[in-house]
Amino acid sequence: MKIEITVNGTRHSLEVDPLRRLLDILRDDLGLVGTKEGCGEGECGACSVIMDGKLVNSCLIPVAQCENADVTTVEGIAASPRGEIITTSFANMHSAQCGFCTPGMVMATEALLRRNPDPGEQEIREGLAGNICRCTGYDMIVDGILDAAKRGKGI
Amino acid sequence: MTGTQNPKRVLRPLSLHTALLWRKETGALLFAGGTDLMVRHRGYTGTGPRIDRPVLFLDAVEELRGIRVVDPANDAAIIAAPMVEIGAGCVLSDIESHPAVPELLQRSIGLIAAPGLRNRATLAGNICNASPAGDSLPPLFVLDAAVVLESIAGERVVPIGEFITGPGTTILRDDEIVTAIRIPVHAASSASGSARETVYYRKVGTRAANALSKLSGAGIARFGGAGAGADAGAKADAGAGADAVIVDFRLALGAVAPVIVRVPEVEAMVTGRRAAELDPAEIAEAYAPYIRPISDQRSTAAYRKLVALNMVQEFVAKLQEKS
Repeated sequence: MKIEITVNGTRHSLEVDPLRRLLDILRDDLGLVGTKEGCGEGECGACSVIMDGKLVNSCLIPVAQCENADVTTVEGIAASPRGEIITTSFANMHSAQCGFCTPGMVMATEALLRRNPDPGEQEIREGLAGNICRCTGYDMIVDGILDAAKRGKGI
Repeated sequence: MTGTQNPKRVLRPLSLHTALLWRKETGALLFAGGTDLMVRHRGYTGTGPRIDRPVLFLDAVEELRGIRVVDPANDAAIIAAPMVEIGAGCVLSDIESHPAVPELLQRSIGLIAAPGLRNRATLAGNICNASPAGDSLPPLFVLDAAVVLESIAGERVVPIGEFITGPGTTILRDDEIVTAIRIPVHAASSASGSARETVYYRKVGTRAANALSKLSGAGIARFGGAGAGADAGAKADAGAGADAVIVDFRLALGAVAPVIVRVPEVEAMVTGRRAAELDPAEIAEAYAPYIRPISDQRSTAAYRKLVALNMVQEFVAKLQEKS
C-alpha cells in the first residue's frame, strides 16, 4: 500500500507492506538508524520515537497505522534546541556507556520534558520506566535528565 | 511476502459501519493498539508480524474514541444510572488521566507496562486478551463493568464476568467488535478513599515497570449505618472507621484461577456487618476454596495462594483502620 508519513518534518510518500514495523521503515527505508531494535517486544524502549506527540515503541506499530502520522526520531530531536541540551547533559553526566539504549532514553526524556519541564527524580524514573539500560544502573541517566531540566529552563 | 500486496488483506477504516461490514465479511483479526498482537505474531528481526488472517485496524475509527459520562437525565432511554463509557479505541494513557474514570481503574492502569506502551495499548484490548493476569480486570470486575459488543445486526451489552469465559477466550462472535466499556459511577467512586468508601488495589510483580503480574487484587467497600450514615457531617473522620457498617463489599482477585475470582456469597456474608467485628482470617478462609492458582514461569501456585489470602486480610484490615 502507499502511505504518507512525516518524519522529522519531511513528508514521505512510501510504497510499503502495511504490516511492516515503523521501526524497520525508519531504519531500512529512510536510513534513520539512530532508532534501535533491542527486544522487539515493547519491553526495552530502545526503539522509542514520538508519534503525533506521544512516546511510542516503534517495534510494535505496523506502518499501516502511521498513515498521515507525524513521527520524530532521535535524529530530529538531536537537531532541536532542547535535544542539544539533552545530549550534552547526557555526555557531561556520563549517562551513556555502550550507547545502545541512549537514543530511546533521549526520546523518553524529550517526551517527559515536553509535559513536565521540571521533573523530580521519581517523575524521571516513572517517565523512563519503559527504557532498559544494561550498563549504567540508571543513576547517571537520572543525573543527565536532572541536568538537562536545569540547563533547559525556559525552552 | 505472498499476499501482502492484496489490498483486501488489511483495512483501516474511519467509520464503525465500514469496520462492522468488513468484520462480518472476513472475520478479520481485530487490531487496536497491537501491543500484545505484535508480540504474539512476531516474525524474524527486521520483519513485520506473521498474521495469516485479514487484519482490521480499529485505531482510526472515529466512533471508538472518547470517554464520556452518560447521565440518565439525558439518556434515560439507554441506561438507568450514571456511568462512564470508555470507547474501545481509547488508549490507556487517556483513561489514566481522565477525571471521570474511577480512581481504582486508573490506579491499576498506571501500573501496566510503561508510558510508551500505555500510549498505544487499549483497555478493550486488555479485556479481549482475557488473560487471567490482565491488570485492568480485577478493577473492572469490582466496578461491575459491562462490555458493549456491536455487529451490523445490532448491539448487546454484557457484564464483564460473562464476556470472559476462560484464559484467552470470550463470547465475542466472528462478526462482532467490542465498541465500548461501561462503568457505573457512584457519587463517591472517583474520589480516593473518601470517608464513606475505601478502595484497595495491589499488583504483585517482579519489578515496578513492564512486569506481568504474578497476581493482583482490587476491592471497594462502602460504609453506612450507625457509624457514618446518621451524622456523617459531625464525625466525618469516623466514616470509614471500625464502628461503621459495611453496606457494600466487593473484592476481585486476578491470576489465581482460570478467570477473575469474585465471590458474591462471601461479599454477602461481609455486607451488613461492622468492620470492627470482622475477622480477617475468617474472611480469607471463606475465599480459600475459590483461589485455585497454577504454577508457571512467573510464580508458583503456593505463592499465589498465600499472597491472595494475604490480600484478602490486608483489605479487611484496611477497613478496620481509623482514618
